[in-house]
Amino acid sequence: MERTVTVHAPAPARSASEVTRTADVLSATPHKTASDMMAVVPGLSVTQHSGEGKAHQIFYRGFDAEHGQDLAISVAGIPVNEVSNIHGQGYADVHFVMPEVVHSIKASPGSYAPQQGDFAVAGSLSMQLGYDEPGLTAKTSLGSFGARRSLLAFHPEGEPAQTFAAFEAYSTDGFGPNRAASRGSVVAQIQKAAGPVQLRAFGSAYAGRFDSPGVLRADDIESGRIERWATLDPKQGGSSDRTQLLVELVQDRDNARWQLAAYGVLRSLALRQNFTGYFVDSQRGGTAGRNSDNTQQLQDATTLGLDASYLRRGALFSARDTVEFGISARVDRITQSQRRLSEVNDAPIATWVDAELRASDIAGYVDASVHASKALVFRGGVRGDVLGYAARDQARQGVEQPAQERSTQGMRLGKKLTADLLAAPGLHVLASYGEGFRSPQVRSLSNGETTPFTEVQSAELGARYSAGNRVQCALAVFRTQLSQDLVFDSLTARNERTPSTLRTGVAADVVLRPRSWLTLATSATYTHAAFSESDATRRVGELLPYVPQWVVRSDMRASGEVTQLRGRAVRGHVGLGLSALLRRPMPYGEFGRDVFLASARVGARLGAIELGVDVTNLLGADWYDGQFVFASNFSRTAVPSLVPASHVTVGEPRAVMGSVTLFL
Amino acid sequence: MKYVLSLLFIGLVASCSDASDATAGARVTLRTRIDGMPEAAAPFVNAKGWSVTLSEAKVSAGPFYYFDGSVLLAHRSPSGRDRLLEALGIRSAWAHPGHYIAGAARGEMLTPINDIDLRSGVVALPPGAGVTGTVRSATFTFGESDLTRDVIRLAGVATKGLTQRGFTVKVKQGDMLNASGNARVEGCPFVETNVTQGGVVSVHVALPVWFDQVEFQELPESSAQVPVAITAEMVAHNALVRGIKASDGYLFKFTKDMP
Repeated sequence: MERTVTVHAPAPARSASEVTRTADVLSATPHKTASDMMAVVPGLSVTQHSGEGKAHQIFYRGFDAEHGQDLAISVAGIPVNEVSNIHGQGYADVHFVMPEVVHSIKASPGSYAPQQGDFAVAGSLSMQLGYDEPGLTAKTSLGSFGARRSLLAFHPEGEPAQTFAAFEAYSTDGFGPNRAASRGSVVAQIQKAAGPVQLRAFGSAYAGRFDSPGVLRADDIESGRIERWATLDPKQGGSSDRTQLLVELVQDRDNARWQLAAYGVLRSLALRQNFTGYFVDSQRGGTAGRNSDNTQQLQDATTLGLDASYLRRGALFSARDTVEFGISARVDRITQSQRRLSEVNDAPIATWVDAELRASDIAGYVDASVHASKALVFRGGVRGDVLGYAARDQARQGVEQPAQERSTQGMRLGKKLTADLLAAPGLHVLASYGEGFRSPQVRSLSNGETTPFTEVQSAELGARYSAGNRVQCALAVFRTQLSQDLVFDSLTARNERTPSTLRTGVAADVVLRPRSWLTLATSATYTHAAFSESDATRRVGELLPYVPQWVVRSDMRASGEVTQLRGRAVRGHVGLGLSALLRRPMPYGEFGRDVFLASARVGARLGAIELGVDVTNLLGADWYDGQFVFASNFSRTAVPSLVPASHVTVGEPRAVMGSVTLFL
Repeated sequence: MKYVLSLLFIGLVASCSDASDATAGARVTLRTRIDGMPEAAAPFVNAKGWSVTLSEAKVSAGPFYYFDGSVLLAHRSPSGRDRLLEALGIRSAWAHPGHYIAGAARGEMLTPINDIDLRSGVVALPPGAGVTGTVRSATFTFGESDLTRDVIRLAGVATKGLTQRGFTVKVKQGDMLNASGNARVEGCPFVETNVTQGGVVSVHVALPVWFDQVEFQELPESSAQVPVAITAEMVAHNALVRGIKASDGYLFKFTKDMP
């Protein structure tokens, strides 16, 4: 019988520092969630400052991407960033993915590929899902602070790893008051080939609920006035759900490849938060009748999208040249509100936002690859995005009122180019340039306004070397200029527009697999992020606050047969992860606390049974997960301090999780 | 390979050549000081024609806050006619263009201080915290959160021609509550300053503004030796409290520390 075998080579890199972390690195050390797993990407760090269920805050190459505004994240081909989320532009919550099914993470810094659209400011990150343990997997885990987790997964033998299904149930009491959380998730994907046509269907559903302790004033902790695990408002937390479906068809023949994918997402988010205590009423003066600043944010969104592309090989100057034409469309329908809640009965006492939004992003691109010589390849093209928005605000300045619709439209054209020189066997020198953008919050737009985008220009020069799978390394310098930026403002306690900013830095990454059982992946990224224009409050050269200048990460894994027991192999696994976040500028010329964390994983498998132990914060560091500077007052009666102060969320202490896994 | 590394090195050096090492601003220490007031010792004439001489002027005040929001008071340049009228004790009303928005706090002195003697010259208050930036207005509170406590004690003698009135007056915090239920004086003018380092915030209390509209005629005959108490039910008391609550009765000024 004649069989057709299609082999997909990874797409050529668009920049020297583009990286794909595969399962051996991703599973080396413990990761509680897929968001937490993103920290293995060179130059990226995450914090979770408001409970186990709220999207992580992401820092990447000098960007405080908040919850995703500067990093385009996709999972299994579906974009995760939420347009105009009430909590923050580009909010990206990937709690719906369990770490075990993340097959690889590809990080593309900058905006050098025409396929990169909205939110690809610092770069983009895509997770490919798969699970290659054949049969049924049942895993039960118990850990510190009442953590309980069950995982069921199956992968039909003989099918590609992309065909699998998994279920996760997780709950925890949390490592201090008001930190309980629970979530449930299912993810399923099937990939089937019929001749040259390949079908992929993916679906997932997720629901989570979480409490949040909120922030504490750093001086209260450090002076011992309050206990470091305390909460000042136990009414914080939220719930989140996401249901999504994608169907993709791909046909790959000798000289052409076409692809069509359609997806839909149903998404809800509810948050209750109080970052400032009683500050709003403190400003009024006096101590009588102060209400808390506890605020409820609600978001419901429906997203529909379509991606299609057609690639021709040999259509240009040589048989190796390619040209690709692609289209992308995404529409969002959003209902959102933000209300201040009563201290007494939690009833809304003021409505700050009550809005219905519509957002459309219609895009097309051309992407060509031209071989100028045997050693020199140019890749690049142009991408055009047409973005239309409409908003109906039913509240203004705290008062509900009849809705007035405002609509805007804008167009954005971005040019991308990469020159790839094969300097020696395995050694590529790449120079990259790309223009990207971030869309604005819909509610911030005026009727008829030409949509103002945050425009980014990225450039990178570097080299990458690969000797098969055994040695992969990259070294690059990069420069990213933003036309305007959003920076957390300590005085208003929200992201405010700032003048243009410039990030320059160097990234180094080394992955070694000297033996089949040993993997070492280490990266170090330095970024200098500063204002490149002045205004009334900023000066050229002043550092951007909050983003760590140094991000260092190392993952080490040794796994293989350890011994024989009654003729059966005992396979062992030892993993160690180290991460350091150093020199984190804070407002007013200060620096935040450096963070150095270690985690470890040990496991042994005999036949169908595997035992494992995960330890996070192995060294028991007292660390701050989130660090902010703003004014607050958490007392109903005291004379308030109104000057901006350092606030923190406390990081998790050492935690141990033991697991038993059955493979059936 | 050497060529590549050289390129990378040059690129890195070039990219970081304008490197700064700090974010905007700095934390500073602000030392608040109540300036000596010659009016507290020397006689002054109010709008009703009374020459007032104070023998006691004590206040309890704090906390103090310094904001970047502008004050509301708008005052056109005085004309010759205005100056003539002011010399006669008739002053123009100031415009009131809108609601005061304090803006962001740049500094504060949080410790309430009791019985500050305005006649004793400069009074230094405990140091407070601040951050760099522009300061345009100030807000402060009279006294601690005790409505029954006397937060201002005044005594003196008012003279108009041959008529003399000796007086004492005690103002409680409860006498000065605003609509929000607190004894704050908001939106006091602060000589606009871009604070770039620590220094002294000096507060000048314009005592003549306190007494500007006080008509002493209604008081019983009295003298410095045998004064009468101005009590809360008297019109003179109301006029005095209005003067005390007037934000233009205070002027804040910043002087940076000498290097």
